Amino acid sequence: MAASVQAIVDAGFGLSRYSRPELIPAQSAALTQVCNRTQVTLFQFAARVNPLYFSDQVDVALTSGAWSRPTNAEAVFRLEGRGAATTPNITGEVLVVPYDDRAALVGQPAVYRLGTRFFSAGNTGDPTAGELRIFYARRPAPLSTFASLTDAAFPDEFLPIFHYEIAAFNARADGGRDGELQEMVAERNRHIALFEQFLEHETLNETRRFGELRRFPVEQRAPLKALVQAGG
Amino acid sequence: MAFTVADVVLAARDLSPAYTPQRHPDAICWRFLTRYGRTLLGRIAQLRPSALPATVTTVPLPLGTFGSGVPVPDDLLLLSVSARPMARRDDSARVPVELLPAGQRLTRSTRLPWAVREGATVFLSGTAADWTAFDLLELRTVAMPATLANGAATVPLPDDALDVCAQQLGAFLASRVAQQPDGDKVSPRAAQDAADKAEATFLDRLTNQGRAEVITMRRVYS
Repeated sequence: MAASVQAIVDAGFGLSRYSRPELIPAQSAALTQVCNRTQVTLFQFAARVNPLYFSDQVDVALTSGAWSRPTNAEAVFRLEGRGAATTPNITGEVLVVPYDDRAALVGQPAVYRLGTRFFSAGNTGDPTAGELRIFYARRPAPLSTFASLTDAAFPDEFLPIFHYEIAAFNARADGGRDGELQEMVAERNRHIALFEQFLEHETLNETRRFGELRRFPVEQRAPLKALVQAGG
Repeated sequence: MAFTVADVVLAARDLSPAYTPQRHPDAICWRFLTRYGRTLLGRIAQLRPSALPATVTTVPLPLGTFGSGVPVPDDLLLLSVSARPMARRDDSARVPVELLPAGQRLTRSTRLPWAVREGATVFLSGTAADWTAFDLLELRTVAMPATLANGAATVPLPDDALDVCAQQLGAFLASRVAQQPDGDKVSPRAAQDAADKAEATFLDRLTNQGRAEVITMRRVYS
């Protein structure tokens, strides 16, 4: 179940007895942006921790000599041929090779990336036309009005992250409200920690031939609580 | 039943969870198998050529330019050369052509036919007139294996070489893992030891405990 921005703002204002709901109409644009930035941040973090959770796939046709990255792609993690819909006929994975080493994997279908597009690597057997299927961790649709809904895939139990972010935003706007800002941030961080854990353990029974899923050259990542707006 | 490149890659990847397709793409495995396959076939050809299928190439006589010799197809080993006598059209009739070391060509004094190999060419002895009694030359070679360029390619080795190839590929991948800064705990030495043991066992079995075959080339002492 998605929540509207209106419902998030109402819940956030309800967390403090110092809140002044009469200011909501005047602050609607700013409050909507707080919700939008928070949601984008949560999806960006998820793309690094658990790329499959908020993921999608789309078939992209060759346009002007290349395949465009989906506009809502946060992280592309796999390309595949579409069988007869790809030229030449490719059914398995299409690898992405460096632009300056396009012959790295001759024999396996490959493309290289430049800008936001994928180009054929130019070796025999590489895709030259037709469609490619792109798998990617996606960004959410923007929250632009009070009627906008949070992403349907976002679990409701973590909506308090939004609520406490709104509350923290209000407390900061009021000069911190004698320590209330820190309390709201601390509570938001507790829900963020729960969300992080959820992303790490949401599917435990995937059996892999290879022990772990390593998609990043480094194992470090910024803690999510440091990425959201109210700090922490 | 022959095995394919994909069979080898699959078996090698099963050896360790560190041998991931992301870190070690198939194309890199194929290139290694091309190199290793040629090396192993070369060793088999050296020890027991009869374990390998022969490629037969026939060349009509007389040659266009006798002095240019007969080109040998890309091979690991030239097993034998024979000539068909003109008078006997029976296809089974062949006269063996002795292959001499190139250094012996000027000291050879015995009767025809004989030939020497230099590089990728077999030169027949004497002059064109000496070969007018023959209408066909037959070369039996162990062919150089083609490049293994995809997973569906058949590996030109006996079936029981699957484990050897997988172990050797595993050792190659282990050496790659060890070079990565955040490499998994894989011992390249242990992997190479296992691969070498598998190869030795395989060659022992194939060559009847290391007893090599004697093949055709004959030295002449005069």
